[in-house]
Amino acid sequence: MAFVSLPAVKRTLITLRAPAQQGDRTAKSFALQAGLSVLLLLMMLLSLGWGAASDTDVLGAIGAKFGVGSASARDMSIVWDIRMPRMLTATVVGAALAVSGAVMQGLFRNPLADPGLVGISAGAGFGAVVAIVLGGFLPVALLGLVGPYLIPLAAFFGGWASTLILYRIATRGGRTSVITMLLAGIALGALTGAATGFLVYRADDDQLRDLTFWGMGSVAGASWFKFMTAGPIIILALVATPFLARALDALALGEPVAEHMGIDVQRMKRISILSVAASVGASVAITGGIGFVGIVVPHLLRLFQGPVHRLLLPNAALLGAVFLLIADMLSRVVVAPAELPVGIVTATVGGPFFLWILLKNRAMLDV
Amino acid sequence: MLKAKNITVTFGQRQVLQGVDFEARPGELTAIVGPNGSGKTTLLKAITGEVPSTGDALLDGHLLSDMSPVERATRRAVLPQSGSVAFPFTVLELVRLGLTSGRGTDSLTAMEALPHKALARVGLRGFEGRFVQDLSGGERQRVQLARVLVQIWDPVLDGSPRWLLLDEPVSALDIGHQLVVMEIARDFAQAGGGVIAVMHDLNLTSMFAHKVVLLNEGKVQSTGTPQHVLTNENLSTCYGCAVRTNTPPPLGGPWILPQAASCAAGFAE
Repeated sequence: MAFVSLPAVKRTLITLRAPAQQGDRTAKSFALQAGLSVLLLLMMLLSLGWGAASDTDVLGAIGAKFGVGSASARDMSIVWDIRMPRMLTATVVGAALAVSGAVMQGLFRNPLADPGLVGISAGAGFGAVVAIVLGGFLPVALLGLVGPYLIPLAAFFGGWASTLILYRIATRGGRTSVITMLLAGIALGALTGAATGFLVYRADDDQLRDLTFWGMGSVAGASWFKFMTAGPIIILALVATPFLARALDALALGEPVAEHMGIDVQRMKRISILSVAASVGASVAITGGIGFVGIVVPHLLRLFQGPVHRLLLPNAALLGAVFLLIADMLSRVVVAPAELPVGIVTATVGGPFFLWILLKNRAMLDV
Repeated sequence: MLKAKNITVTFGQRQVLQGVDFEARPGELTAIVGPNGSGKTTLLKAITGEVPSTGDALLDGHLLSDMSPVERATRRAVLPQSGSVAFPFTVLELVRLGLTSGRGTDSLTAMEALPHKALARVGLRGFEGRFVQDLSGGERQRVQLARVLVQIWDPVLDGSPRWLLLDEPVSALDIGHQLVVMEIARDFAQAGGGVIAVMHDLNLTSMFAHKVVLLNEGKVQSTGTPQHVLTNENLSTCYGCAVRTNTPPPLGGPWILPQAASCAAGFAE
């Protein structure tokens, strides 16, 4: 007797073959996915041409890199050394934050869970600060081993530890209390914030520059080096999430029901927490804490295409990337010639949005 | 054969179940009845593994706790008493979640049709596009039943019976839909599957159950056919009120009329 669990591809085929059914938002979601893919490509290109040097020949510089046509050395440098790593960083970090938000919300069974709000970003930030300030005290052999991955790794462990602590505190008997979750998040955030502050005072001038710059939540400091250290971790974590989709759907009905439906709940929780910690940790390590992407993007998508995670997660990645690319472009022009940290832009959009969700879900909190 | 041996469940200081033995056969609808707090739901949850217990729950001689979650989900489905849904699923989306596990060989067309068949079976044809949170309690209960049916649609798979475990499946339903749901359970059993249902309504139990397990204060009071178990004496002892059972000709089973709640304290006391 072979008990085979139903693969995602087959489930998708099942829903796609009859696209016009009532109550089925698969076709809608795929249409959105196509639209968002095109929009993402456009925004990526636009982002390369956006900025003070607006006369840059972006397409020429891209072509020249691949041996088609030619471009000036100045244009090559602007596009390939400055804007390309920044654009790619915004793309993967936006995707990572939005997908992590969706996974967290599924795991906590609550639309208000967000890595930034509940202290996971702060925990990851604390890990990164520890690495920046105290990294020099590590044995040389160990430093050689982890090399450039030290800060992303430390951020990952910080994020992982805070997610775990949060989940343990907020969940009892398979039920997660929203109020406990948010309050524990505030406490965790305050605690790691204090510890971070303490370390900041211990830092020397060079380290301090690193810290200040990075603490604002910005993609302006992106470099190929940073992108190459954190990018693979984020992409790996994102690739793991589609395998969680079915379990996250089942979890919406409660832990016991998910278990009855054949989900290994403990295992999927561990994987979810690891994937959130990895992608948030790596993101925080290269851009600092950028808030609200994880709450705005999944919420908008759920309104439009429903909560089925198999369809939600890919679109969250696309819309998250688009959202952060646009926010980054805004941050380059609103106070030109200076630049705002992109975290300020996302908070300006996300704060009121969060309040709106809160008002809509007030009944849920009055327990 | 689904067997539970010597099940004991303790909540804090209180033993909710004390060494209960339980047995259900495929092809039969086994009802668990008993007054509030007698341990009906707890017994079902001990069998599904939802509450920790001492003792063994065996399916065809194999410990249920040794099976993988996917294997368990292929062999049995569980309808909980009540359930909240965290996000705004449509009825169709929710029922499709029942397709969690199944045979890899089932054709796409068959699987596509299953949620619709299940919805029609529970009397919710045309509800596909409605949001689950906007439905009434009874409609929601039937949506959950449709999801559970999708999970184990065939009562017998590859020669092994599958099991439907229902926790008060008709508690929120009007009398018409109570019959619809009980008929689904009976048909599932008659097609070779096994059904265990926690029941409050003794008359429905009498009408549909092949076997009744009467619990009282965490112990089995009586087990057997409805005629054997649902007697004046057993029911008066367990429920603390006088009842009169009667057997109208077309039914075959006893018919229970509560007389007076002799056990309850009056307002004056």
